[in-house]
Amino acid sequence: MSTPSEAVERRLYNALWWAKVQSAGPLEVEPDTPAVAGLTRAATPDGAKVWLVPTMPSGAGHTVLEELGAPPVAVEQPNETARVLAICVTCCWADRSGSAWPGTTGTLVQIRSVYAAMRGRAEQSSDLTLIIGSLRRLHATHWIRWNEKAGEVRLGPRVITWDAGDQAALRDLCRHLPDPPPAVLAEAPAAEPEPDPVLATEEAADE
Amino acid sequence: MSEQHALFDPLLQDLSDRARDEVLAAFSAAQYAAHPVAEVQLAGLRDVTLRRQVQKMLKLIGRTLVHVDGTHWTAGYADDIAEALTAQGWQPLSVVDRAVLVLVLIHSVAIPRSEGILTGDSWKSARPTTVDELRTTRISGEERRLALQRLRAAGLIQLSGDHSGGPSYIPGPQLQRLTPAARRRLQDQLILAAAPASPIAEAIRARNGTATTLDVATSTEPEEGVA
Repeated sequence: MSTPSEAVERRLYNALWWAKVQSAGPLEVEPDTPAVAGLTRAATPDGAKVWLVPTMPSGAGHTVLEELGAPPVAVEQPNETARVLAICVTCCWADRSGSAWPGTTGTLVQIRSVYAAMRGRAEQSSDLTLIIGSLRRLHATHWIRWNEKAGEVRLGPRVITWDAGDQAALRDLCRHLPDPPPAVLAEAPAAEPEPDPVLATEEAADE
Repeated sequence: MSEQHALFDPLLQDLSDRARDEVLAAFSAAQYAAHPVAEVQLAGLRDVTLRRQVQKMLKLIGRTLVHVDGTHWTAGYADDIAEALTAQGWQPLSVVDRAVLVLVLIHSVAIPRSEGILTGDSWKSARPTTVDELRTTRISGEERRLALQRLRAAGLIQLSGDHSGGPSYIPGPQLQRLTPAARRRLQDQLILAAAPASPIAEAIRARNGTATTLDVATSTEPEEGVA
């Protein structure tokens, strides 16, 4: 049994970590960081760090807002952003018999190819601007990890919270999207530098 | 997610199914809606007993209910948590983003307030800050453009409806999440930065029991980007 003061300390510890992930998004921490109630943990692809991602009980979260007619903070270019997220899932979730996390590394070349095929036409010059803007937005919100220098993408820590139902729906979505060409990576994935995990820059390319 | 929730279940398990639904709906609306929600709209906010449960849920994650205009509710960081994180040096916004945000707050709120055009202690304002007013030799045009995009995405600023002189900005809905104490800290910090030698700055320092500190206004606490 914990003493009352230990319980108070534990509550403060939890509250501080929750405030951090709310103000900065999911956080990458050392694996020996003690557990925080309600924050799920997932090892980074290289196993060196652990992501802390907030979870909600069923019946809470963004899904409730629609019923209430109280929209969340708007995403800029929502349709393009959702389309590019779907493409990233297709490119980075190679083995769909298993979980989407941590997935594999995809490339900008693959994303451009699927995007054009999805549109059913050859790539247009404006496509790249829309794609890069969406990738930056998705990186800033931790749906993906976008390495702009290498032109490579991985799924972000927020996909950890996708449950079996979400993943089944996404598997189905992936089946309807054009297949990406094989990924040609710039270098071994192990050498992939992670951009600033705390405050990733959202540099939307849209005006 | 339908499995057990380690943080909230001890609170929720004693509630009836209906009360649980009402509390979770009110909690979600206060936390995630872009704007404060009307008290009349949700039983979880209207009913004092249920609202107390919402407040307890928020306390577990370092947040608190904030009453807006007497009729609406939203959630913001609890003062003790903001203070503890500030003491740790926690700051998710870059210095450029904070500088641009402060410029918007000065032009849209602080100046109109000092002229008596804006009353009260809210950081909501319809007075737009133009791109010209955001120009400074310390921040390049490209840096400013990217900072404006990030601040907009975080709901800390928003485009004003007035497009007559090109794009202009007003404080975003997230500013309404500031608690009364946080609103006062922000005002105090702006006064200390803008007029450090004024009698009112002297009074603020005396009240806080501090020597001369010229912190940038937003270093007082992290702002929420509902990630």
